[in-house]
Amino acid sequence: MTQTKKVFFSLLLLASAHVTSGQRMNVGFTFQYHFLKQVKLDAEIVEGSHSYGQYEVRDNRWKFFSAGQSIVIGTVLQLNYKKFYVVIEPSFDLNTYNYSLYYPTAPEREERLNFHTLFFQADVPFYAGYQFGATNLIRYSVFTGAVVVLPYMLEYSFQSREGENPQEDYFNSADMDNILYSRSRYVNALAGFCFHFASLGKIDVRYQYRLGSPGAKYNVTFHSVGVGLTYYLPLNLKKKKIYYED
Amino acid sequence: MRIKGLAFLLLSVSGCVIDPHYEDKVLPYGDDVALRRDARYVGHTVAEMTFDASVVVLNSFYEGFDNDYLIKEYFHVSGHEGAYTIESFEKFVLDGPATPSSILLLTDQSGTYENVDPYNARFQAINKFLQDIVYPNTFLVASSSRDGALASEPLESPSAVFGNDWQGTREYLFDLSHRTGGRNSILDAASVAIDLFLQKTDAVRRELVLLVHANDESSAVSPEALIAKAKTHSVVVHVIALGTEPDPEVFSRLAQETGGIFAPCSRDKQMVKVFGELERLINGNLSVYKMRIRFAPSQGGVGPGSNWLHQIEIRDPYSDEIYNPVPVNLMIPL
Repeated sequence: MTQTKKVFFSLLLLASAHVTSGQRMNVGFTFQYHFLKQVKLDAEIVEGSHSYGQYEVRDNRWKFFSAGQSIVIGTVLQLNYKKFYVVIEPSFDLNTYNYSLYYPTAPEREERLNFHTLFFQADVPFYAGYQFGATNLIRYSVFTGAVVVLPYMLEYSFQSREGENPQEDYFNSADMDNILYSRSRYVNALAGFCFHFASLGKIDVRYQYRLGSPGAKYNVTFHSVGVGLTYYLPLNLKKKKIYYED
Repeated sequence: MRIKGLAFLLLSVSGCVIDPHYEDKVLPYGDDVALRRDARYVGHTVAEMTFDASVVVLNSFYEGFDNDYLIKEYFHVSGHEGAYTIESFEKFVLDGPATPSSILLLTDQSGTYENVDPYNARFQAINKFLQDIVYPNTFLVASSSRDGALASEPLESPSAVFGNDWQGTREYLFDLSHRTGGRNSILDAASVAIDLFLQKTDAVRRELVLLVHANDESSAVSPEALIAKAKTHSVVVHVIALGTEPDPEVFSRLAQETGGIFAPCSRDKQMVKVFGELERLINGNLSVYKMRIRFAPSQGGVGPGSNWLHQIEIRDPYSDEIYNPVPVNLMIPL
């Protein structure tokens, strides 16, 4: 084991030994749902990466649900020290994006192409927070950190209303490759606001912003807002001895 | 336990297959199409005529080369009442010309393409064609219509200079998607286009490509005058006729008499296929089916000065589909 690993595990063990005053550890599960998203492509016309087509860009708005959604299920390891805490949340993320581009077919007519991307990815958020406004039951906190995103499966298609989807015959559903998505790992910046319910769990609202674009040719930014629900396992009950009277 | 762990790991990894990644640009899938490479009158008597015709067959599943597996029995000639006989049949590879070419692509912007090209596949197809043209071959793009949406009539071009800037030209072509309308005046425009070739002083082949989808009823220049002008200035006119409207009596003859290819594309995907291979068809090697055909009409004779429009039909032995008929215009000399 290297020196760095030794130091890391020593610190981890030290932190997990919750005998010190004001220090404790929470372990639990988290469920997150991101439904407010913005995909912003910084160009007026974008050239397809795998076809000879090019498309007009107009779909840069924030959208509820229709710009894509993410469902995240993961585990939580939270270390608290007085009013501060640090969290790591290894999670599975089903992450979708929808982005519409427009292809002119006639002076008064165009084809709307809804590029649909689906990622199965592993997320590793890690962040630090500060609690304030404590009452007996509820505490508030703000947190900030980053999310390491590791895509491991990708699907793309046109989301067409027509069953036969003739768009597949004329356009390339992989045209946003290295524009709206890539297969590389990336990092999101993370910030949020959290309500803690004693040691039962917490509910947070979190904002994520992708650092860097998927490809080099176009500048594309991704923003998302979601809610997270975390439930802590009642590990502290394991230590309590319960006596029953006859 | 170790085996179980390894099996679990393998199963996990097998679920993590990232889709195959490819880099190349591709066109929409094209359809099979047959083209007429050239045709010429050989001779006639009062009772019959003889002519040569060369055909190139493009298959949707071939890229960069032509169909070469057909035999004589799959070719059938028709057009008039009478007896057609294929007297000789050969297939060979025609080597590409040694001299570089200057290609002028002239698109018909009249009316609407909504019926013949509803998804504007021509934009992608033309892009591919222009990207394929590399130095020392050069190109120029122009468009034509009368009383339409173009800035100048009968011909509008983003440049008067032949070059290889397909990326710059792409913006012009993209804008053209919004600017259809008016009447077809491609014969007038082609006449102006021939003048653009005359500005070039270097020794190159002059190749004019017309994309038409309608008949020209508003040009002052007649087909005969255009053919004569093209021949005078050694301009080869290739015609891609999209849809069923363009009259083969005009456009097929225009291509045939100037030595160009005539590509009758009844469907947009056939046009995609033709543009996908067009640079090679003009500058590269071709696999050609050449046949000598004798025709004896059942009624009347073969009079000097008469015009005949025959067509060659091809049946594919594997798919059993009939390719688009290839027109052959023939004028019996006086």
